[in-house]
Amino acid sequence: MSALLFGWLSAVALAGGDALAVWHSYRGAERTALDQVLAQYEAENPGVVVAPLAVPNETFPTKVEAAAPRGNGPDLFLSAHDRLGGWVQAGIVAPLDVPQEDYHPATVEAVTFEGQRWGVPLAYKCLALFYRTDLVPEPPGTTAELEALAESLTGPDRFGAAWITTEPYFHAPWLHGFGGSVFLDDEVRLDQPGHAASMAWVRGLQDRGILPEEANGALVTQLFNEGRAAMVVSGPWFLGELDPGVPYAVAPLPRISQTGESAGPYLTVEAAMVSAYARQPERARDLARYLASTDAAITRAVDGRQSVANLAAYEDPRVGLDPNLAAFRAQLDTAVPMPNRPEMTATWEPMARSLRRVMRGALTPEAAARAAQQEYAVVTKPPPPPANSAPYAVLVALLLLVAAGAMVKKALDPDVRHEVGRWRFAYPYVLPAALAMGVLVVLPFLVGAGVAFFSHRAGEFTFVGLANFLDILFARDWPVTSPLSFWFTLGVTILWTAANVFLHVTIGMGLALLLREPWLRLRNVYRVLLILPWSVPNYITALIWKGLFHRQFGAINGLLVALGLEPVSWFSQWSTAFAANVATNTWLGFPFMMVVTLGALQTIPRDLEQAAEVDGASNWQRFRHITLPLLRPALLPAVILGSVWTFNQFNIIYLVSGGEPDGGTEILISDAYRWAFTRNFRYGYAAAYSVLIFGVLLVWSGFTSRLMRGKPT
Amino acid sequence: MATLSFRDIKKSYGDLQVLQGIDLEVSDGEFVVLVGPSGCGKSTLMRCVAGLEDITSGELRIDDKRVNETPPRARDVAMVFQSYALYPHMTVRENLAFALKVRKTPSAEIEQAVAEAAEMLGLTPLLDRLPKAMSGGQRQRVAMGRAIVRRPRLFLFDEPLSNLDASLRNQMRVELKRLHKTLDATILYVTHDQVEALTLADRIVILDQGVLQQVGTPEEIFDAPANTFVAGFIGSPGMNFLAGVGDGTTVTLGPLSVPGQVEGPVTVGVRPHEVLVERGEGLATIEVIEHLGWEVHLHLRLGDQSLTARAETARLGPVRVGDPLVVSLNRARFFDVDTGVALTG
Repeated sequence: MSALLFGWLSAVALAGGDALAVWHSYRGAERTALDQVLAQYEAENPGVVVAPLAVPNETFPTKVEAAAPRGNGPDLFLSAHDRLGGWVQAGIVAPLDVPQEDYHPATVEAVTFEGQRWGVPLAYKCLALFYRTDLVPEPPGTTAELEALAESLTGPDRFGAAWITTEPYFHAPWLHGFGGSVFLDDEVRLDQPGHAASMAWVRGLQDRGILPEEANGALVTQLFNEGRAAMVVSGPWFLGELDPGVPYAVAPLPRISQTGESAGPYLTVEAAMVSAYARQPERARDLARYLASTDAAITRAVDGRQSVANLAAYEDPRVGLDPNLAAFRAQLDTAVPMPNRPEMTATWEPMARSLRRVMRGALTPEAAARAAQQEYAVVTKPPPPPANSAPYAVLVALLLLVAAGAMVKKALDPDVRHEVGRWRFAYPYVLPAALAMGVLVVLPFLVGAGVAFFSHRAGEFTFVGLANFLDILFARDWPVTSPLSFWFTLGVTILWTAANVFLHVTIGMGLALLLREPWLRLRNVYRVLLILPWSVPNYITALIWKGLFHRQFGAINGLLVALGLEPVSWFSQWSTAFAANVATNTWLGFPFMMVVTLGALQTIPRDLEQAAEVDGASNWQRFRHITLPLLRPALLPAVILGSVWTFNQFNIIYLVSGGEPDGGTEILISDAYRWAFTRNFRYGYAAAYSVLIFGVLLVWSGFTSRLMRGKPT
Repeated sequence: MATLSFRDIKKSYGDLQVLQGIDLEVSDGEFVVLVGPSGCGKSTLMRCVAGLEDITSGELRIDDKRVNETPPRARDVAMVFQSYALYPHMTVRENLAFALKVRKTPSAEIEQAVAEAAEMLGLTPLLDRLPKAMSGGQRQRVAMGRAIVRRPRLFLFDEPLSNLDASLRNQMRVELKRLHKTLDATILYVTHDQVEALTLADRIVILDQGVLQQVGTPEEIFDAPANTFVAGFIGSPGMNFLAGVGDGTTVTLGPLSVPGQVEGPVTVGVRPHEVLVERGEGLATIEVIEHLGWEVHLHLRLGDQSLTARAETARLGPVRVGDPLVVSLNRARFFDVDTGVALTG
């Protein structure tokens, strides 16, 4: 399926026959500037046709990885350098040597992997200091100045500075400034002294009220635009988020007073890379050099507002004297190229977790750094040894044989043949749906189940048999009580499902019964209002609730404070984080049960309840013995459906608590996602999780279908 | 067993007044049938007694205690619904036991009461069935069983037989009568079927448009209807109403006359069986003939008036549509032309 899609995509890209396929993920002004440069190139090289294709940023790596080896990929692709190591190992990208002295050395370092250069640096992005010129007359040169300045600008509901303190990317300038780094002698070391020291420093700022707590990108932007944060650490994209008229300027980040070192934000370099599968490699290399040339760089900088890597471009006054470009250019000198090694991807989650732990005071900076290192070691443990696939193949072949035998036997049964013949006219009608189900449900399911028997490392799948399942089920790598353990997560998931379904049903049913009361006025208005939560897309609701639970700015803590209570740090403790998830999902879930109950209530004759009333039943007895049993046939399927939905309710967990604290509120489906995408791309392990989830739900549905048959009414 | 008294009971839904001041006393052990056409308020009145409807004004007393504000479950009355309202998820046994169970009656007692009621109604072999696995007649019995099992002070029956076929209805009527004797119960019974009313009632209460028309024994109601509504409602086929003029001793209706001490124009009521017909060159002509076995109903034209007569088939002999008949009136009642109220004469 995906092959088909990419085939189509590249067919579009190749429209025009022998065109040079160039993939990028630029939008807006950057894209316009690129198109301009490409047009120029075509004009200077008659006969050459360039076919640019914009691929969304989020899917860029996977599409390149999938398309290139099949020959459908680009000749040249423009991409951030951080996936470079993986691509080199997977053989997707070809070496590309260019005169490196034209570019800033840090950008050249970024496109270098294992001593070889693999691309031409085009542009770069890194963090810098944005400050409001109405509050900050002179940007701070050192962190001591920053602290003093920020302290003087901090007041009730105002912050001297703001950044996303719990994101490792935003913490990196300080990490590097305090002498830390992710890699030490080519080894991941997240427990270096610099980690603890930098985290302790940021935590200190938060304690003094200089930094807002639990800041996310939207909050930082809002605070800065409203003048409630005087200084912000962010990247060039922040320019697009500023309200018109906000007086701002950009400056390099301050030097660390404690160490005397410069702050070292991560440097992401957009490089032109030639595909190892390029059809016109020579032409692609030529275009890469052209894109990076000084003239093209000036166009990209002036028209595309890009921070370009070509140093000569800055001699043009339109580039060199632009205050924003100049500030980022100055920052470039101390920026640290984002490690392009594949191991890097597995470090983000442990680092983010250690930051969150320190910021909410769960662990000391030293302990958090040690824990991060341990967690990294755990999620990147070496893959299980390859297993002999022969016995499995024999088993699968036997199963297929048995299945085929059973089908043949059926086909020979005259009754079955008669039935099949009788309905032969129905098959064409069923065919489209059957095909769609096959392609969209059965096939992905089989592929997913198959992947569970493999181990994935850096693009390589190795057959490991049942190793993933055994690791998971016997909790081989960590104690059963660890949040990483399948059994712990299963427990949380069951608790989550039970709590939600119970609340959905009781609240939904209660409201339905209330809405039926004749004395209630404006019933129809309430009915519509109560269905409303259901009609809002659930991720929007989840984000709203996440905001409501914010430690410092959330409405719920606002209410608690107004009532004279202590504010609660909702996502710092398991119970409150779990409660926040459940509250959000209950808000989303009760309308469905209410609607089902309202519908079911219509089918219960009023006579029955009145008969019970005359028979002497109290309101509760009437509900318990008459209404509830009669609602049961309609409610039971809804409850079963609701339980399955809730069991796999990824959105709420991911968006509200995000698994906090420390992955404790993760449910199976969100944990499977983590294994697949934030813990070293362990697709096989994640697929094994999915198969186990399927197994749990299979058992559950077997149980519930017996329940449905159990007591007829 | 209980007495029941209605004192100026009024009930309205917004502007719509459905009961317009009902006064009635029901004595202990009496079988009272409320009868009237659809929408006359009879069911509403009964539901007021059960407590399922609020009373707008007036006073309702059971055993001389005001119960207007008492919730249904505290009134100790039992009701049999037209739809039977059997609990579909409970077996017959559970249906019968429900009222006792919610009262936390000891289970031994429940068992005994259920067994007794089931025996009385012939439900014993059905005790473990669900309502959906039973016939209409059996369900009806269960509904009655559910009422009698707890020996309430007062029974309310809301058109309990209307969903049964004719023969089953006749059978259940007899059974109900017997049950009333056995239980010695006070019963309030709503129906629109005059046969049920006449056969079952100790006293009949006739309602029309929320107003009490007449209260009396079946004989009183049949013999001396208080007005044309009652006269027309009770009896089948319905009473003939003819226009007549009285001179103080005789009332003349076209070519016929009957003795009657009324003067001026009156409405003359004659029941079909009181119209005597004989074959012969008379004044009436047969328009329609309805054969009912041993009797025949004849719809006649007499001058400019039409009337129905009822005759014994054997005695009348063969007749055909269009045949002339000799008609005489055996007995007549007189009503005020304007108000319809019965006149003594």
